[in-house]
Amino acid sequence: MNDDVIVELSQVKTQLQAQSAKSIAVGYQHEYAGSWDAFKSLWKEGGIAALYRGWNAGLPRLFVGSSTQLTTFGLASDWLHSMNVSCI
Amino acid sequence: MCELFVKPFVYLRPGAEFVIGALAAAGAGIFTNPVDVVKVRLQLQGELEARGTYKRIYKNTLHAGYLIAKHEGVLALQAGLVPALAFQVVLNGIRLGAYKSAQRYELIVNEQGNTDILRTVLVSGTAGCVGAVVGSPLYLVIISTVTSDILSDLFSQ
Repeated sequence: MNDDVIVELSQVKTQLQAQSAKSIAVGYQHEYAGSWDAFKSLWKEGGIAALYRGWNAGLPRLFVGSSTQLTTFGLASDWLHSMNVSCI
Repeated sequence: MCELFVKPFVYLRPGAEFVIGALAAAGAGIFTNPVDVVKVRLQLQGELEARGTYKRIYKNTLHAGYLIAKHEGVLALQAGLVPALAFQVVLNGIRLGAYKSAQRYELIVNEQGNTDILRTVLVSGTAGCVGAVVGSPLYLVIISTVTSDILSDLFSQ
């Protein structure tokens, strides 16, 4: 996560002058407008390729994390079923 | 004892597991997003300056949450909620939906109906990767929004 954040800092800095006026805007709309603006500027920068930049970052970690999580979930619920503990 | 509460078999339309997984992830995301906001602020504390030269404003997680709520309002703790929920819907909708569908169509269970470890590992790992790749633009938008908020605060001081 930290590496992804660092990569984005350099790109975001160049947009900040334009956005500093908007940062005065208050409340909930700002956060949604901020992310829509980020989406639009990424799209303008390079279309789909810019949006999908870094798509393969962290894939090995995610594979291991997801498989471990769901497999242990399956094994644990099998075990609970076998003990007739819960009626789920 | 369980026989007293036998649940009737409900036929789920194909693809229902994806919707259920997406709903579950979005519901969880509403509660975990404030923790994520605090986490990114803590991670970025002093990131632009050398170690030891910046002033540590947030002492710990709870203190950070309290300061954000006090100075920027409670809604600032839910910053970036919409793209975060959208990312969760895509990632976990695909991931959990694929896992449950594989279970339903008996791709990852052995003869007794229990979890087949190797196949479950492969299916769930691949489903997680597919979900993350499809949702990676949303993750990029989240990062850009959050870091731009933090940097604009830093530069406007």
